[in-house]
Amino acid sequence: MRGGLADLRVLEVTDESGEIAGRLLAGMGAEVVKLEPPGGSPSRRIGPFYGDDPHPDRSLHFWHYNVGKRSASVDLTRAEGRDVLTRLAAAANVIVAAGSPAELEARGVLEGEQLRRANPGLILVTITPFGLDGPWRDRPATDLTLMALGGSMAVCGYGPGPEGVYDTPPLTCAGWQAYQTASIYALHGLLGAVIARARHGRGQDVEVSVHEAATSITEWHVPQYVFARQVSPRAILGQQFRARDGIWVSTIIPEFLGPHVVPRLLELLAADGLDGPLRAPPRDRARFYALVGTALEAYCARHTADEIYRAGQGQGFPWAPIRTADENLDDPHLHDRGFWIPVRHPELDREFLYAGGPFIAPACPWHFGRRPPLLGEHTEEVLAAAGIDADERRRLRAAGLIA
Amino acid sequence: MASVREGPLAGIRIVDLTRLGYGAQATALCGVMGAEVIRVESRTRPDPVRLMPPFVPLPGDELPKEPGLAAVATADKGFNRGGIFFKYNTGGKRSVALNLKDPRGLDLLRRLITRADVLTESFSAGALVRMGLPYEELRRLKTDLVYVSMSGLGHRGRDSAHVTLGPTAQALTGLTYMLGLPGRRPAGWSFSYLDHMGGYLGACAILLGLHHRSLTGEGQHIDVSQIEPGIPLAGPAALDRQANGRSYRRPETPPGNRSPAPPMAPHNVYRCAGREEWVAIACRDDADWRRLRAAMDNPEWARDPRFDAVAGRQAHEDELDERIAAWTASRERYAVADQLAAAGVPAAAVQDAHDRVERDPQLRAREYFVPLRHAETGDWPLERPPFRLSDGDVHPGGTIRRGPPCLGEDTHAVLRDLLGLADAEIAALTEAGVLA
Repeated sequence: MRGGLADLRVLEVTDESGEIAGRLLAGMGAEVVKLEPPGGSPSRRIGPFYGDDPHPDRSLHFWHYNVGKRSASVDLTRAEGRDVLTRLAAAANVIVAAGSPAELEARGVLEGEQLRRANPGLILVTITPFGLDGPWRDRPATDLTLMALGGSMAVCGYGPGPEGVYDTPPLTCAGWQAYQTASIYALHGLLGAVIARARHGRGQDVEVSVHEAATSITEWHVPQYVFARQVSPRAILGQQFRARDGIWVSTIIPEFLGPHVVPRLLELLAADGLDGPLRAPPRDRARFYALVGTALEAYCARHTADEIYRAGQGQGFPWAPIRTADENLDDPHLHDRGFWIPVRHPELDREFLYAGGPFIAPACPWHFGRRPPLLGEHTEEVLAAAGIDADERRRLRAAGLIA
Repeated sequence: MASVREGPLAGIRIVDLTRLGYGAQATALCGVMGAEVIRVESRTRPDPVRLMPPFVPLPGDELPKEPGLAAVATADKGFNRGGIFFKYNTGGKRSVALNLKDPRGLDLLRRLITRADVLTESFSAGALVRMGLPYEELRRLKTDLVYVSMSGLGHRGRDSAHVTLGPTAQALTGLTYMLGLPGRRPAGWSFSYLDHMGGYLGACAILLGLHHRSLTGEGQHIDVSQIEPGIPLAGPAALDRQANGRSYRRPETPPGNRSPAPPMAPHNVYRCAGREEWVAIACRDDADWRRLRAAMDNPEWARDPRFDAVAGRQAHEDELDERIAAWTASRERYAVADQLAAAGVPAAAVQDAHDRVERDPQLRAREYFVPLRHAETGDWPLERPPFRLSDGDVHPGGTIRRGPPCLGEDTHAVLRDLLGLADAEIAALTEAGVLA
């Protein structure tokens, strides 16, 4: 591949928290080598698994986040393993590391200045729970605790019962969104550093805090406090109704879309004879929207989620069925755009469609050049390319430093 | 100390037609890294976010002393006091007011494009074409332009006319379904997570386009959709269906706050003393569980061998959660978090916006909130991006260390300094309503 990120040679030293960064870099054309501990990355043990077989090469979680990468297994917790890392780093130009500061230190990927002695252009990206300073730097954390601190849980979940008492807790979204958010921010710093390096030739450190990333994603909630000293209660997003096929549909109607909204809504409801109560709308907005809600609930009960999606969008409304991610495999629009990328798994003699890129960049198209790596599949070629010869590789292997 | 290092995007100029949250956040991220971002906007068709509550008080206005749920005033506040605009438009963006319905306004936009490295917009697909600015024309104005469009479902594909807001995109991607309790209706995100993430991946598109241009000399039209950034965030569900014939839509999904994969338990939030105060606790493994048990003073129930291994704790997770909640119920949430964290167990208070701004010691120590000046309303704390560079300036005020722009604040300066218009020309255009 020409262009894109084809000039980036990335070493990835991450636990499960930073893997999506490498996935996106690979898709944009970078060569990404995942350095895994001898038993394999922790994410290889996360289900679901192909055929429900918990083999380290069959984790679908691992596949999803590691497609397009290569794998070299090196024990970075031992000094000689860290020597190998130093030599790999001299041949790379970016390192992406994620985990706690203690884990990164133990793997030799906390000190950018040291690694840059052999390679002044090296960019070292660290993704840690709280960043590399501050009173909470070394606190243990998971995505759940970081989402709790970040503020989204306080406002996500079900509303209170009729007595005003909550009978359900604040909720987080599945899929580790604090980690995902931080990993995307890591790409901004990384690509910024790459662009700066093209200008001045120097590498640098990029430091990302997952806590700050999770704090940044709550839309109006911080402004609402800063400017109005208000704190919103926890509630579900309004205007969701159940369609005839049991699938819920999001039918928000934002007024800022313009004055055409109400007539178009009436037109849509009129086809089912549900527009009557809205023909002479009450002046009170709350009452009006209560009537809209009643009409939409009845409308949705008569149609499938996909019918409602298409009818609402046909009127210019930002409506959508509440899908699961896999249901997007059936969306013809995404196929038109080439979003699902076929990737062959020769060992299984099968091809799988992987979720592709977040955009279409025609001059440097998204690509996953290879299926997710088998554990240690590329150890030999990666070390050889860094100038570690066959004798030394044999010695390292015998010592259990590489696998 | 006082000297400002160069930002990594120094020398890059973005002409920015984005509106709302998703588009605006993409260019804000470039501004915080030192790009010059010129927002082109108009009073004739203002960005709705400029008009939305919460409204920013004027200097001298009194803020309520205590957090509360008072109704928001909705009287006309002009174009510069929409509070969410402040979040989306950091990075020292400039604002140039152009009425693009006037051919002279459109001509000024075309001249700005000739001086741009990047053009961004978040209109519906086809809007720029209708303005006479298809990509072929943009390329004619600036050969190596990086043009990044950020529409709902993208410019290509049969449903390109569909419109999205954050909640729409979240519903389609699977991220709404993934937030809720099993057996109940989806709760979903109560705000626009994908305005953020769509915007952040839009920023990646800009950066990729710039780097590609530096390698090859060529520009391109990058077509960003708001849902394609979100589908990969929803995890391996599509692979599970292909490999195992299993959809994510099944009775035990979503898992609420629990963690079936990887197996972790306890993994939930627990009610503490006070009104709606909660603490999150996550045991990553059996060793964490033993630490938690010790921190709770080894109660008899917790020594039950059913709870020794994670499989047992998951098999009896309702009971486990009830027991832990009984322990936290009389305790203060930060005290529980501090005690458990000191014992090595991941734990944290469930924080709201007040807690983050006023209380969170980590955010305070790292100066997450930075005061910036806004011409009409004064100094306000705005959020720093969560990444820092050791050898490059990253700042929410951008190179010019300024808060979000008032509408048209920089019209005169940009037309004069960048396009070389004479003051008299600018005055005439103002008089004619072109700079509105």
